[in-house]
Amino acid sequence: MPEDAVPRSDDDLAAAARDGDLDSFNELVRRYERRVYGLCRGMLRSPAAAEDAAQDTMLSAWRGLAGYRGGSFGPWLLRIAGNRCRDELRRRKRRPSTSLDELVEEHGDAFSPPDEARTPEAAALDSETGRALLRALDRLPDEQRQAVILSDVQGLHYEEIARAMGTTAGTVKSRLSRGRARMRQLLIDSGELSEARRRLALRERERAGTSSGDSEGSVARS
Amino acid sequence: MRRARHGRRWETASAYLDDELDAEARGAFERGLAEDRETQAHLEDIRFISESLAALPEAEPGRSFTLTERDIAADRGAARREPAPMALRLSAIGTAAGVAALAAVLAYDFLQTAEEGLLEPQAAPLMERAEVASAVREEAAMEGEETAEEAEAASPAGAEEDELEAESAPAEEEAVEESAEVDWRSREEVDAAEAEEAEPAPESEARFAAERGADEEDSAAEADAAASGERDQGTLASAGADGTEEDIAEQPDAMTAAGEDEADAASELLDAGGGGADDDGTLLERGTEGMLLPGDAAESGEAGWETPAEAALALAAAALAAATVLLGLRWRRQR
Repeated sequence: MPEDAVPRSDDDLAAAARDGDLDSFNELVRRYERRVYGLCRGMLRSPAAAEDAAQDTMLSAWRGLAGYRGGSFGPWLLRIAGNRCRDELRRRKRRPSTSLDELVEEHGDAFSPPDEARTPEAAALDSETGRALLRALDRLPDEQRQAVILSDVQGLHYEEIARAMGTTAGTVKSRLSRGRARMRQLLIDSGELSEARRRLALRERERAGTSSGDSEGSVARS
Repeated sequence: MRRARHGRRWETASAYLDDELDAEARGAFERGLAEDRETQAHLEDIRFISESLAALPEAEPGRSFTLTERDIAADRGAARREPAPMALRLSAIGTAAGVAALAAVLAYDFLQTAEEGLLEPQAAPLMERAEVASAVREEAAMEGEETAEEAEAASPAGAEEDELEAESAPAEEEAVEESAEVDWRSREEVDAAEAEEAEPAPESEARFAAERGADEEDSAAEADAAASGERDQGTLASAGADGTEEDIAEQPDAMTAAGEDEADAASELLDAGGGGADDDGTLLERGTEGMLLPGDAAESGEAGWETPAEAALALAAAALAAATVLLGLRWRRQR
C-alpha cells in the first residue's frame, strides 16, 4: 500500500464486500475481530466457545451484509456477536452440560499470559483482582454483563452501546448502573472489594516507592 | 422507596462516571455529592470496578477470524443442513394441526351430507317422477283451498304489513315470478274457488304486485290479476313468518318424504307452508323442471359440498396440509 494511501472507511469496505469482495470484508474483520472476540470471551468465558462465536459472527455478518445500513460497522458487528453469545447462553441454560475441561478452562487463568515486563507480584495482584472482578461479572444478568463489558472493558460510549445492543441510550444507562451496583454489592459481600482495594493500595505504594527509588537513583547518578 | 431513591442517584452517579451527563445535571449531582457520603462511597467503588475492568489485559484470540472461500462454502452447506428454528418449527406444526382440523371438519361435513343423501330413496324414473309431480300438484290444488283459508285466518292481513312482508321475502317473490312461466291451470282452479269466498284484494296488494312485476314482461297482467282479486301474491305476502324462506328451505325435505307417501307429503308441505299461495308458488317453482323429487337431493348437489366455495376451501386446506407435511419431511431429511 502506498504511504499516502488513505485507509478506506468501514462503509467503503462494507459496500465492496456486499458486492462480493471477500478481501474488503476481511479487512473489516481484522479491524474488529479483537473487540468481537473480547465481547464473546467476556460473555461466554470459555476461549474455545468465544472463538466459535466470533467465527460465527463473521460468517453471519458476511451473509447479512445486505442488511447493513451504513454508519457504524463496529456496533453492527458487536450486535451480531452479542446476539450470538446470548443464543449460546440460552442454549447452555436449556442443556447444562458443562464438562470438567470447560470448568477448568473457564475458571482457570481468565487472562492472557501476564506481561513479562511486569514483576511477578504485580501480575499476581492483577490476576487476583481480575479473577474477583470476573467472578462478579459472571453473576450479572446477560444484558447487564454485555453493557458493562462494552462500556468498561471496550470503552464504548452509550450511543455506540445502544446500537450494539439494539436498544436506547437510556436503557444502556440503566443497565450499566444496575450492573455496576450489583457487582459492587457482590464484591462487598464476598469481602473481595476491600481486599482488592488493599491490593491496589499496596501496588500504588510499590509503584510510588519504585518511582521514588528511581528518582533517587537518577539524582544519585546525576 | 430507599432502593428506588438509590437507584436514581446511582444511575446518575454511573452516568457521571462515564461523563454522559449534560452540564446542568453534572453540576446538580456534584452539589449534592458533597453532602452525601453514601453516594460518595458508591461512586468511589464503581469507579474502582470500572477502572479495574478497563485495566484487565485484552483477551487475545488464538487465531484470526478472516474468512476464506472454503469457510463461506462450508457455511452455505451448513446453513442448508441447519434445522429450522424452534419458532419456525412450532409455527409449521401449528399450521399443520390447524389445517388438519379444518380438513377434518370439512370432511365430516361432506360425509354427513353425503350419507343423508344416500339414505334418501333413489331417483324415480322420469315418467314416474312426472306422474308424482302431477299428483302432488293436484293434491296441492285441492288442499290449497283449505290451507289458504287457514293462512288467511292465522296471519295478519293488514295492507301495510303485507307490503312489509313482501319486501322482506324476496324468495317468495321469485317463486311467484317464476311460477308465471309454468302451468297455471291448477292454480287458477284454486284461485277461482278462493275468489268466490275471498274479499277483494286490498289496494296495497295490487300496488305491491305492480311494483314487484314492473320489470317483468307480464307485470301489467299480474297487476291486473292482483287487483281483480287473485290472491296468490297477496296471500303469499300475508303468509307471515310461517311462510317465509324457512318454509321453502324445509320443503325439499317434505317433498322428499313424498316418495314414500305422496299424499301425506303434499299435506305436510301445505301445512308447513302455512299459506296456500306460497305453497303453490313453491310447488310450481319446483314443478316441471326444478321440482324436488325423491333422490333429487343427491342430484342437486346437497349430498356433497353445498357451495363451490366450500369445495375450494377444502381443496385449499388439503393442499396446504400436504405442503406443510412435505416441508416438514424435507427438514427432517436435511437434518
